[in-house]
Amino acid sequence: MAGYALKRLMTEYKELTTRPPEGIIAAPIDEDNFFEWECLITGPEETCFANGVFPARITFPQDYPLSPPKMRFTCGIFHPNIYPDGRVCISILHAPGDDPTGYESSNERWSPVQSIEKILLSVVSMLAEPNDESPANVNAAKMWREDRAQFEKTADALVRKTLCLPASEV
Amino acid sequence: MNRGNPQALRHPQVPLGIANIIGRSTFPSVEGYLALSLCVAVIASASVFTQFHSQPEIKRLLEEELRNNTKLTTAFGINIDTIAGSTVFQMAHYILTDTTLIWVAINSYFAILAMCTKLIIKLTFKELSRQEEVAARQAFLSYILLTIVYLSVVTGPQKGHRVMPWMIWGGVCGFLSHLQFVTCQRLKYTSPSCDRGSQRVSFISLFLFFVSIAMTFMVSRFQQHLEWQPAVLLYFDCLLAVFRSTYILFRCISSSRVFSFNPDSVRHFNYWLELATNFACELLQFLSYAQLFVFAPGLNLTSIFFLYHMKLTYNCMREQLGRHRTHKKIFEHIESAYPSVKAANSDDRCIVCWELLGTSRRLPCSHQFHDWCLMWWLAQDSSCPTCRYVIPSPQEEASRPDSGNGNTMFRFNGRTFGFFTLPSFTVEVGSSFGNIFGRAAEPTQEQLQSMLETVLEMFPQMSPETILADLRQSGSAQSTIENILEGRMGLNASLMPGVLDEDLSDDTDNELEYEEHVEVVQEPDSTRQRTWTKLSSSSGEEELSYYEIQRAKMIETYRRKYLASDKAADLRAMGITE
Repeated sequence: MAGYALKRLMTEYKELTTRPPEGIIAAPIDEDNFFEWECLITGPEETCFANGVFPARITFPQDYPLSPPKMRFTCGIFHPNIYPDGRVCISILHAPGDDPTGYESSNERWSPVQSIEKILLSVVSMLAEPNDESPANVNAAKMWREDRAQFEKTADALVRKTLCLPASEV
Repeated sequence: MNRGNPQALRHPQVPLGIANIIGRSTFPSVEGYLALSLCVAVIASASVFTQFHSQPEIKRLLEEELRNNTKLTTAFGINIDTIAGSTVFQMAHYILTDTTLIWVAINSYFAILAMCTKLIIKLTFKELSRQEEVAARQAFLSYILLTIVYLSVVTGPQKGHRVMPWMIWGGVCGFLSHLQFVTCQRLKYTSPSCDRGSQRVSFISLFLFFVSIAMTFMVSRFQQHLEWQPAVLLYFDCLLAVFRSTYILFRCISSSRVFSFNPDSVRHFNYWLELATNFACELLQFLSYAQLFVFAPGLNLTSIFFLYHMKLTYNCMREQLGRHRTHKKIFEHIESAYPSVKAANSDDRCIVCWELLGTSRRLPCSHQFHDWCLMWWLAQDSSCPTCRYVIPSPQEEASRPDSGNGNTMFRFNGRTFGFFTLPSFTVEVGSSFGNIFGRAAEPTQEQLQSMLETVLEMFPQMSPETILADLRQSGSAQSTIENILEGRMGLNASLMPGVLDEDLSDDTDNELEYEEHVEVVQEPDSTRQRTWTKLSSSSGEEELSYYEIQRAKMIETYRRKYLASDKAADLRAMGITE
């Protein structure tokens, strides 16, 4: 498989630049390394993350698209399905072989049919609808379930931070 | 985790005292060696020149000695007077008769070869990535070790004049194999689609091919002067070089754009080419080690060394065959179970590699894939990538061809390891031929640690735990590195948090790839593309990438949106608007 990952990543990059999807930017960090990408996704409208611009990094394995990439937010996002260190826990990013939570059926796992754009769109919808059944961040899941107002306040503080706006005083 | 701290990684604590000096000195490094040998060579040649100038009687003496040397006339067939009279020959004779100067000359020869290698690599590939560099260094060091042992066996208790031709030969072989190694790595792990880069690569592959052919020719010319044992060894070296060069040449041809319309045939060709070359090379190496082992003067330490290498090459061969067998099984299954059909639309693309489908396999769910794309996927999953339609897996043992390798099977014979049960053929082979060599012990903690360091040097972004786990299975740093490169560790590879910011360079000819890419994106006149191209072509410190421009725009847009929303009431009250 070696060697073909790069070709596909380059094709995907071309697609993303010629037909950029709404509210998503993704590009290799360094032109010399197509296996390490930086991306920005915007919070879905009508949610507490609305209008936030969240940066993340995607790391591709050498045998992409057979194995899924890894995604990690770099803005300290507080969300039930994102580990405190920023790693995204989403079923389509799990390889068919492993099942860390035991909750997913293999239908939801990684497949080469996924692409960078599809991953990012899934992450956007994950921001809108957290899945608190198998939380990556237990505190966030708890707050999401029990104290929605506080959760929304935390999210709003982050949105302001990513937009370089002063924090709310309330 | 302390390891995850990027600050600590970037500025490792400076050791104090002697350790500091040793750690910081340029030795042992190739650059340091080159500088030192150049210095020595310059001093030595200067002293030779001054001696020739200040003492004319040396010249006369040498001339006489040369005249009395009958071997020279037979070897060169030129008039003895011309030889004896020429200063060059006199100097050569002077150097050859002086023990110190011989070693200086040999050393300078190695230094010049090393510089040539560096220069050629620099010209062909520009910068080597970190992984390539480390891999090349490892290969180089093991080559040196091997050559030293080899020399000690071949020359035995002989005098210096017997060692010298072998050293010269070893230098040429090392030069060739180093270049071949680097080129192979490049061709193997890089997407084969750049015109300007491939021109240089094809040039170097032609060069390598001709040099190795020339070596073979030379050996056949000098064959009658040699005994059969060294001659066979020389032929092994030549054949090895020819095989590798041919591989590089063919690989270069197959990756040219001419064949890109049919990715499947190219992959098929590459697969067989690689299998055949690897197997042939390993067989040759095995034979040459076996010969050295059998004909070594008595049983000594070097015999153990050769036995060890015989075992390694044998393991490699078996591993390769095992991998091939599983691949073949899946492939046969694909060929027998799914029809090869032409794509409905000529511009339909394969979902795995995003290249044009052409004639390809159709699954029962009517989704189409390239043969090889399907094979790679079926090697790890048994459902259609598009719709998850469950397709009957070829065979239980063939379902995960790459999850283990020969070394593992050798050691953990017949056991269930992790989530996979070892294929049954391990037991078969292990019980017959494997017993001759015995089973290697599991690597000790220190060995593991040193191997871990080697791998970490190449892949600083991998977590040490993952690497250790794989090392325990593979038992060799080389197999683990291969596992990582081929993506066999992709499932478990967890990244160390914090190291992500580190630039992890990859073994790709990306600069050129990128140029080609810009070209492609330039096509139609959309404003976005034009801005990007303009910006990426303009040079200067404030150059912004496509990503940075888009990011600035995006933040701007969404900040405006946010300020207009209900949530920003307090900000508006503070007077912050846009």
